[in-house]
Amino acid sequence: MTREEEVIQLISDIVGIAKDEIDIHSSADSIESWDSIKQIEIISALEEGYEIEIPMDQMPRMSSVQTILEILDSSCSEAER
Amino acid sequence: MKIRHFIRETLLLKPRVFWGNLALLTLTGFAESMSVVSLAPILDFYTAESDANTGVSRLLRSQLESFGIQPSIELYFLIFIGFIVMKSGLLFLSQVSILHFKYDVLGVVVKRATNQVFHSQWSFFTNLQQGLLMNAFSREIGAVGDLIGSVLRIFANSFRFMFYIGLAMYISWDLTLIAIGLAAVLLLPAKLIFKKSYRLGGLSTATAGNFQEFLMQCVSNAKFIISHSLQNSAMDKLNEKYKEHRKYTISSQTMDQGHILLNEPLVWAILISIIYISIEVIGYKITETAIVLYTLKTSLPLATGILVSWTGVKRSVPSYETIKKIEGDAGAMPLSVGSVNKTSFVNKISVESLKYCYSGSSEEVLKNISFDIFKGQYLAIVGPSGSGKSTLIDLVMNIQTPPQGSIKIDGMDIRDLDLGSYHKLIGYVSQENFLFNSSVRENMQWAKSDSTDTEIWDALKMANLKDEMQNADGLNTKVGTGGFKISGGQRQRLSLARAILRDPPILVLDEATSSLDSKSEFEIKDSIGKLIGNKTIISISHRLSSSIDADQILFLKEGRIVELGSFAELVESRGEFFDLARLQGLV
Ligand SMILES: Nc1ncnc2c1ncn2[C@@H]1O[C@H](COP(=O)(O)OP(=O)(O)OP(=O)(O)O)[C@@H](O)[C@H]1O
Ligand SMILES: [Mg+2]
Repeated sequence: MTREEEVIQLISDIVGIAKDEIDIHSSADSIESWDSIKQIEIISALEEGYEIEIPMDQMPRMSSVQTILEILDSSCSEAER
Repeated sequence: MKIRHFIRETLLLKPRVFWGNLALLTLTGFAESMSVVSLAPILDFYTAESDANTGVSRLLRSQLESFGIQPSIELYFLIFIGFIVMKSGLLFLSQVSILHFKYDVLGVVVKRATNQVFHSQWSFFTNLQQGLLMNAFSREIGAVGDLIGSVLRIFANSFRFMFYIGLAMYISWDLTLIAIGLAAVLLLPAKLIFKKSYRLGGLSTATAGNFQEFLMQCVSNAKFIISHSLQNSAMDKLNEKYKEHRKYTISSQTMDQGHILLNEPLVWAILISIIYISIEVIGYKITETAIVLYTLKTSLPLATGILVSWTGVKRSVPSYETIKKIEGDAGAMPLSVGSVNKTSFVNKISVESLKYCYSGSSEEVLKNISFDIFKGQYLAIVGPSGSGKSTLIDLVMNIQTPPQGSIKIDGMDIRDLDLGSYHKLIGYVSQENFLFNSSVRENMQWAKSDSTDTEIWDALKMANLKDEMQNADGLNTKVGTGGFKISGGQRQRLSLARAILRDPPILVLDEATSSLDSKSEFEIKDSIGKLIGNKTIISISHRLSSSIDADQILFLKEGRIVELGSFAELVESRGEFFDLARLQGLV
């Protein structure tokens, strides 16, 4: 599974909608049940799954698949260093 | 960073105060538990038959009798009240003492960082990512304060917690263990909620910060926004940030309040189960049950408090690391620290084979620069934008260190001089002038703190600013944030007056007239004209016209001295300077 697929799978599990209804352009604005509490759950799950710590100032941005992937990329490359 | 390291680097800065505080906390914990213990004889007096007293009551009575004092209910009340007063007093004292300690330590941390920052070379400021320093100073310092506070609170609460639990164990260990077990099982779900609510709280703060920062940026760009009628798009963007902040804040506070309210029935369920088990199952007396319950009811919030502080500590440690990093980066490029005092300028400044490149780039901004300037001379440095003029001046001011070459004043390398004494010899007007948001007088006194009004007026007169200031509010004229309440030309002349006020033998002026209209330019030039001969002047300009009167013109291009000589000589040599001078209509 690519990272994008992993992230979409995770969001689908937490937000509770089918995987194929989510794509890279989905965000909290387009998905009704993706509220702030779900977002916290997504962030926690990502932190545990990838063993990273996401900086607090990045968290508000993590409300779309696109930005989640961006932030994951930078956090993961930082963790490797 | 480990919390242990943080404690060593901050709290143990003042070890005596730190251990003193811990001792005070121990005493407080002791008084607190004694106040609970001394409740036992009172409860026993009213509930138990005289032969069925708790161990605590018996102990107290035998103690009193051994001193020949007859125990009575009035005495029990007195002892209880005494311990309560003592506990409250000590609790108050230790809280005040912790507060003092927190701000003392924070003061040291801030002082250490700012001191390091302001003793670093100028490139430290220009290298720093935009806004990082401002943000660190405005936000991270607060966070570090909270961090220190949280660590101290953890200490304080842990002490009190241990005393309470110890007391409960002493009175009836089986009941206490059952109670702790029950509390753990029933409150476990709370921990999960707690983590989420903590995150949401953080997001609420972060989005508030984003909103504020963007608002600040809009305010700074107000002129751009108004003059381009961009109010609507500014408002839209602001509104977006606000909506985001609102979303997190409402969820976070809903969760916090809901948590508190939903917790209440749980806590009662635990209490009632404990009472039932204690009296019906184990067969304890009311007194013991009441005391154990009381200690547990008090220590439960302490335990949650410790948990809250602990998460706070883990979240705020990066703030401390940010401050440490800034301190370290600044410390890595310190200003030079010579010790020789230089109190006069007698002969010449010589620049020898100077090279410079900014860190992070391999391009040489200055290439092999050598020249002399003698006392009383007027040296004009001219050259196109980006040719390295300001960089050269930064090196002469010794606020950057050249990797190669040297600058000597009267034969002494400036790096060996005490920087303060060297800077007293030079009045410096930089390319961008930023004034302090206060009166003209205060701005002038930054240059010379003990200057009298007469001296200030004299300097203003030299800088051709006297008349305008007399027509305004005199020395009390406010210059506004950054000096934006006075005109650009006035700002420039105020900076010049500030340099003149110190009455230094040398004046260094970077683009004193570049952004000015011709009248202001004339005023400045006229005032520089008055100083020629009395002072050694190094003046930068990319307008050649200002170099006509100079004894020496240094023509800089792409970091190299292309030509060096008087105006007549450079015109004579028919080089690049001559071509430019002709273009500008000077010859
Ligand atoms: N902090 C910095 N970091 C990296 N490069 C820098 C820095 N400051 C200046 N430079 C570069 O050094 C060169 C010389 O800059 P400098 O400010 O000395 O030019 P200048 O002659 O004073 O120009 P101007 O007339 O525009 O003021 C330029 O190419 C500039 O891009
Ligand atoms: Mg410059």
